[in-house]
Amino acid sequence: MEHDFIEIRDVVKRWGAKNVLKGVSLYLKRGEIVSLLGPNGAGKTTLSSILATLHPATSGDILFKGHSIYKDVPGFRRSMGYCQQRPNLNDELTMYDNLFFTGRCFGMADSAIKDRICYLSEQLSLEKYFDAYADSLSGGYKQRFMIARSLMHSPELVILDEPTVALDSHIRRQLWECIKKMRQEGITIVLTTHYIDEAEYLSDRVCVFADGLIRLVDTPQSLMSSFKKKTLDDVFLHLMQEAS
Amino acid sequence: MYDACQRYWKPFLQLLAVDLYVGKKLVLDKLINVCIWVAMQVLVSAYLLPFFGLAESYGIFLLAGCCASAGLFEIFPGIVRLVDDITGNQLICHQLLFPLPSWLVILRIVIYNATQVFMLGMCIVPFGKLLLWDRFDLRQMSLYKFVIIFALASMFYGAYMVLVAALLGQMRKIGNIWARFVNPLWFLGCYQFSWISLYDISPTLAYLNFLNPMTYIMEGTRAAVLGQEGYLNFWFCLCMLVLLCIFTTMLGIQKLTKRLDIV
Repeated sequence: MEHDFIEIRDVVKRWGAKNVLKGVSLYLKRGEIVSLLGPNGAGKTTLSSILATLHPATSGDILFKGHSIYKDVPGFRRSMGYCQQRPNLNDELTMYDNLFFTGRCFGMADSAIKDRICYLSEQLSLEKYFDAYADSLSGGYKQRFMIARSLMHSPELVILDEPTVALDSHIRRQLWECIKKMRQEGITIVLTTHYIDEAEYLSDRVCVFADGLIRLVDTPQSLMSSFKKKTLDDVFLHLMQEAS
Repeated sequence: MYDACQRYWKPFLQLLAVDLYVGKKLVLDKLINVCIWVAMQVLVSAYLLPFFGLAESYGIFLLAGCCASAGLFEIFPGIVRLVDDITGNQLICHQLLFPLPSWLVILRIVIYNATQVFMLGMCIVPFGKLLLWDRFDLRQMSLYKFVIIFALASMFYGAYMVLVAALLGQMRKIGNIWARFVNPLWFLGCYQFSWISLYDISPTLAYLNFLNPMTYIMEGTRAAVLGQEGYLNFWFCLCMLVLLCIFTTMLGIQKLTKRLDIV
């Protein structure tokens, strides 16, 4: 485990007059799952999108293996996959082509793309929907293809922004297993979620957000024992009451 | 610079290839639409309006105008598509995560739209010849001048599309496109009259018309299709269009970058 795989240093984000992130610092170790928890508007998705180099930070820096990601944004993007909250698959392409063209845009050779699609198809059970278009897929399969798309170029870091939101509980469980498999492959995962049980089941560490600031970062077990609560849900409620 | 080109040209071309792959499904529809529009304009002006006192050559004059302005009408669906994406699914946010600088991702939208407009516009001249037959003498046309000016005009339309989409920002404002961004440019941009005829009536208005990019597109296209006599100098129009393309592309990229708040 390395301590400096990703280091987020005092990141501030303002949207107009609103201070969404008020100086967030966090480090990620290689191969761990860190969940970002917090109420709506706490700044979880904003931090995810800044880490994914979609939106710029107003101030602060993010280091990847000791170097600022802003010195070589396209280079960092080769090492990072981002599965956005809103399904944004290309409606005009089949699911197979969505994955295929993503691979090509990352400069992969056609044979490597086919192998990767084959592998991801096995991991996420995608094959029977290869010829389908996004508008004919269920929410669960859209999400699987979104995850597969973010994994096409074999990134070292994957950011999953509420990947199981609005899904049936059995599909959520299936996706949890997929996420666990990704971790076993050594991928570092940042997971934004509203579901405390999801964070408890999947995370090595949990990062609790409130009002644009990180309140706590620790393992779920440590949080439960230090707050003398039986579940992470109770810890979260306690922290939110404190914050308000 | 060379290193950057080496790194970025493959993902850039792939992204463009995806657009062209998706866009080809709509080519036939777009071609039919352009042909209908050109046929209406040219047939009425060449075969009907002379009965109301207009010169017989007005049909050919308007055909050149159709070539020049067909792309302006193509930007409408392009703007709708881009605004719909920005405010809806945000596929562009996925494309912005490819290993490319963000300005290149936006530049490829400009180039894709320019390519589409260029290919459609190139069909207008042979179609116009069919409609006007012996009234349209192809010997007076300079093909290389037409290709150059039309390529630049297409580039301008592609950039203008991105700029308007960035300025518009919301689907509920789509109705503004025609009234505020397309019609004034088109109607005041020498579509129905030449710049020299405007100058004869009012030099002030004619000089003011230099502020309209369509003036250079229309006059340059007419000089290429109908011959230089009676129109603004082709090379002057070409130079102005080069400057306008650079300016509009840079402004469009800057405004869309700001609108999307991207790295």
